[in-house]
Amino acid sequence: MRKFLTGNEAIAYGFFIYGGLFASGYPGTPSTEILENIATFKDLYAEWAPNEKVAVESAIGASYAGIRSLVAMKHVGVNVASDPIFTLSYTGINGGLVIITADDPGIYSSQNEQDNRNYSKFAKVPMLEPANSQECFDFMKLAFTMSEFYKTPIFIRLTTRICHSKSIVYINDTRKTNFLPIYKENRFDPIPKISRKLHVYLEQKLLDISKNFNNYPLAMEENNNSDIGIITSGVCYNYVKEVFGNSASILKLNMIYPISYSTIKHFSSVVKNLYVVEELDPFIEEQVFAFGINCVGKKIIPKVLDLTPQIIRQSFNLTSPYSFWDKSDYQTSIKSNLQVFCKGCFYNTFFKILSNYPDLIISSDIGCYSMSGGEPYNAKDIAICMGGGFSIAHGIQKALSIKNSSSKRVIGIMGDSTFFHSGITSLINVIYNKSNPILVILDNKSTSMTGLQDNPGTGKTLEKEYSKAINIFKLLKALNVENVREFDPFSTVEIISSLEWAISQKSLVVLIAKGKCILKGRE
Amino acid sequence: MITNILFCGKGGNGVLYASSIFCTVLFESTNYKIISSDIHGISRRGGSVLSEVRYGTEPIYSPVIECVNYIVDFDGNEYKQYINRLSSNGKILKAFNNDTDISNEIICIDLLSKIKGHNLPLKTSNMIILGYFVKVLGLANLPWENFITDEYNYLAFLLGIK
Repeated sequence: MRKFLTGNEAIAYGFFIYGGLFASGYPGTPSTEILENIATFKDLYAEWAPNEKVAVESAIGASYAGIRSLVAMKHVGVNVASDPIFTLSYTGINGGLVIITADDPGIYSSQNEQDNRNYSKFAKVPMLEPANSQECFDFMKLAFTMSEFYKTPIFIRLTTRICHSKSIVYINDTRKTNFLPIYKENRFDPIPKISRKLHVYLEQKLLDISKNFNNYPLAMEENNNSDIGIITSGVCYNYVKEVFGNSASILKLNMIYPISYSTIKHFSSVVKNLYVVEELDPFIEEQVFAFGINCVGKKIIPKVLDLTPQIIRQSFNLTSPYSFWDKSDYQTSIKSNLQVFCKGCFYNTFFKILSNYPDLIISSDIGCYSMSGGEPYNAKDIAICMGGGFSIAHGIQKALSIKNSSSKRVIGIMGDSTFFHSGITSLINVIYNKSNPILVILDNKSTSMTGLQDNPGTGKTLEKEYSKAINIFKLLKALNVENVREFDPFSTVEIISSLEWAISQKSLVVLIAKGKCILKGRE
Repeated sequence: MITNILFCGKGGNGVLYASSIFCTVLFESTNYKIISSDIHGISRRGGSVLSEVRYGTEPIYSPVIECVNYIVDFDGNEYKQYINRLSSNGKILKAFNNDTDISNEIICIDLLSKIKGHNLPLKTSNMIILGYFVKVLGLANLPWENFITDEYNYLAFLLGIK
């Protein structure tokens, strides 16, 4: 079978064909379509978790119970999920378990461009890095096989260019599933005396993988009898091939942690000048140096943003074979595009009204409202991470109180999906520790920014089954929030009167904007 | 030989749909090697949307184009930010005719008159441009009708080919 697939679609196909049975995740660009595509297959189960940590924990449960599992998230999602991952590497797994981290070099749709390859070394979880859609598919087989052989979770690291690029994929296998028995082993209960032993096993396991690199297709050497040798991986391999073709020898690493000393040593011995081409951090370069092998990497390759063939050409001081259009005057006339809310979205009115309250400090969050800080809204002052809007508002309000400036008010804002993700614990902190910000939940019944996914408040699951929607108003009442008011955000009068009422209160106020996402309404 | 195309526009122009139709038809109906790479995400809110497409008979590695042969702009004003990537003999195909500095390399398509003249919905304008473009590439004889299933879209596509 021959298909034209994105990296995300190919991962989903690989999961299906190679016996995946349980998949979880939280939406986040560029990873969202992995779960959405998995959910289209029959005879397996896929769900949106309220956050990435819950997703990983659920997949751990499924793996312990003996089935092949996957969890997918964007790079910052791994920060949220890191707690269970760091201990999962100690306990190991039962049914194969794959963790997809979709990184965003170039910051196309994120708040940072952290290099999650570092997580593999830090959490001691082996990491594969595919270079195209075919490898996304093939590496699912490799990941499940290695995961069950070494009883370890496996990271697959994607980047935006791999997730959202389409290329031809050949699928020759048919789906096979396997149910492993549930083992009651003490490794799954890592109390200190057990965990100390598990750490020793884990270090040995990583050494075994590195020493037996050749048992699996974990590296591919292209010896082109050149003085120049380039070690690379993932999407960068394509850029290197584009620039050098067969004029350089290339060592393409399919596994980027752990790596094999003998593989690197051999490659370094057949070339004169060894380079490492990788996006963001000097992750491979540092491992090569740690082997006592000299190479050139970040000395010439940028550490920030994503690479392109052109950047690599410039880094190596190579002359471009192309001649470009000589109309440079055109470039000066382009204005950067405004990021604006959809026409008809209630965020337009809400944030424009909010910008008329310059004395309020606005602590917002990750979602469509991320765009409320710039033109034409000029409202939001702060945003850091999922669920942080309320906690940061709490911290500011407390600090103002310490500085005897309590009359100045802070407003924390997040959407419904973000509230379920990690806003609830932030709110509990506000209640428990008695601060008095104004908190607003923009309840548009959708995870809109990533493409209108459902969440615990919508009453529908990823597999489009009915689920009892969580009522935010009742939840707040159960948490003993006294000042709660729902308002119609499509009414200017109601927005203003709700804000005025909230500002007039001395204690904590939570406002719930009850308005459907305009795009969700069109579905 | 590899042909490198940059489809661009703004969220809502139908850039990704047009690119997807183009790629699907080439994939299903030819033996070309083909890669496409999209940049979207928050772009749906009126921001820039970009789809890079490469096809040809040689192996294709990079999903990112270094030297562009064609810029196809569904918005009319977006092409300017990619012009530094255009080949010296490259061509630009763009919606509308609102530029004061038109050169011979820029082909403008007067979408409004075509749409009004044939009672087509405005959202089909991407198909008019796609139709025009496949004619420029000499690919009009591929079975586009099998993949553009919406009646209005196909009418608009044919209008572009004319």
